[in-house]
Amino acid sequence: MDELKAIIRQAAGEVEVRGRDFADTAYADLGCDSLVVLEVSARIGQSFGVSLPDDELTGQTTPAETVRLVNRLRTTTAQT
Amino acid sequence: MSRRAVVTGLGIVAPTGIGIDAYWAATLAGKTAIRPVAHLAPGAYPVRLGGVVEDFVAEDHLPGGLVAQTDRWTAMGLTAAAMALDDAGIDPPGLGRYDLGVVTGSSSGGNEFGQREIQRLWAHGPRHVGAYQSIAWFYAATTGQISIRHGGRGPCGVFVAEQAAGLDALGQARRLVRSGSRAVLSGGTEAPMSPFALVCQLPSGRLSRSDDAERGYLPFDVAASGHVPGEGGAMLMVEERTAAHTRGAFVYGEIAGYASTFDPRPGSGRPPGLRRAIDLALADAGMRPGEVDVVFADAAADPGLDRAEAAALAAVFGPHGVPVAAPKTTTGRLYAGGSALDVATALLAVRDSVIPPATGVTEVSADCPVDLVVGEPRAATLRSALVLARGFGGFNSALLVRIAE
Repeated sequence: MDELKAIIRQAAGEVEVRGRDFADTAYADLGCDSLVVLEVSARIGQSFGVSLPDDELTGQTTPAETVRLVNRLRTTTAQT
Repeated sequence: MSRRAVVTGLGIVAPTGIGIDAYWAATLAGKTAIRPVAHLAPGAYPVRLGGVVEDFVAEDHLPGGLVAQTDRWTAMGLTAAAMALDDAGIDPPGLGRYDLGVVTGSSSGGNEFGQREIQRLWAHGPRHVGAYQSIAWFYAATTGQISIRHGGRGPCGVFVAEQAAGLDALGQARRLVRSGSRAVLSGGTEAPMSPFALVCQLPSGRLSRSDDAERGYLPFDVAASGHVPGEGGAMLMVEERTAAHTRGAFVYGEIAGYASTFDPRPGSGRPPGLRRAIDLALADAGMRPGEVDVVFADAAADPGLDRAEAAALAAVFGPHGVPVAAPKTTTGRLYAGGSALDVATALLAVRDSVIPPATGVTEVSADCPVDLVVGEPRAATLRSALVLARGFGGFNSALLVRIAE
């Protein structure tokens, strides 16, 4: 989660988490527009060596869901 | 009662200074910012000198998210726009929903950002090209980012006409104000000093290959041998006159006239379009040549172009008929940013009754009958100024500012 937070910061600058839990707040509500989400998706792909389908992350996705998704993809990739 | 466009705020990011006070003090003192460009390896490029805004760090002025999404040219534009709003004392949320427009000029676009992403493409593959390349490179990016940041939902646009584009943008801002807009942020910036951006300028054949920082850019001089490129520019707050007066704003001056022309094709035998642009701008402003107190020259520092500009000025004003300013000798040519900065500089000159000097020039060529202000600033009662800009490719623009009544 900390690594993801760093990636989002690089892509979007400081994100806003007004009194909400970062991990369970959708990207759109963190102030990330669709292009920022696309950039985060690409950076995750590079950092974790996984290939995220283009429509997998959206403004409605939360960081916690992202972490679960990446972990699942990494497990799948490791098994094949 | 006719609607008039006045300038109520200036934002400046220039090689010689960031902000009005630092820039104007350096300009009057004739301090040059032209020097060998540190990030260009000696011997690797035919051009050594440039005017870099060494103190400009985007993170000092903008939130991290915007820095990640924008080219240096846009970061400079955003910074200058915020300064212009602040100088004008305008808080955009206090305006009506569609009251604020944004019109800028740009000739290099986001070349520095683009070079970085293209290098990633070649070195690592398409997945490594950042998503922001899609919005960072193109000419309208600065206009768009300024519009988004300040809620400018009024008319927006961008002009691409090399050095002339800054005047074209301000001419359009005036047109918008006259046809109903309340306020328009307008001007231009450039960041054309990355290797890719610099190489794009070489085919013009107009760049100085000198390595003498004091004598690299010498418009109208017998030793003129091309211009030095530079980065930065200015944004101006253009407002409708009555609205500006009603809110008690300080008014630098009125944008009184504007015109643009295009050169005939090479070999046609017809004269270049600069003189026609001057004549049309004067007619547009309803002014006679004798009412122009100073001309901020295009100052190409190419012998043929200098002669052509001097001839146009002599034809309109008479030989040595009007003081000519070329403070861009201290910054280099900033293209669309340069002509916008010239307008800001002209308004400061009018405000303080002083013409800033050109630097480096020691001997004005005999075939350039211009009264160039060199070395020291010249005190003068200034009620108006004419700013000229020629963009590579045949663009000519002329813009007149004068004290607002």
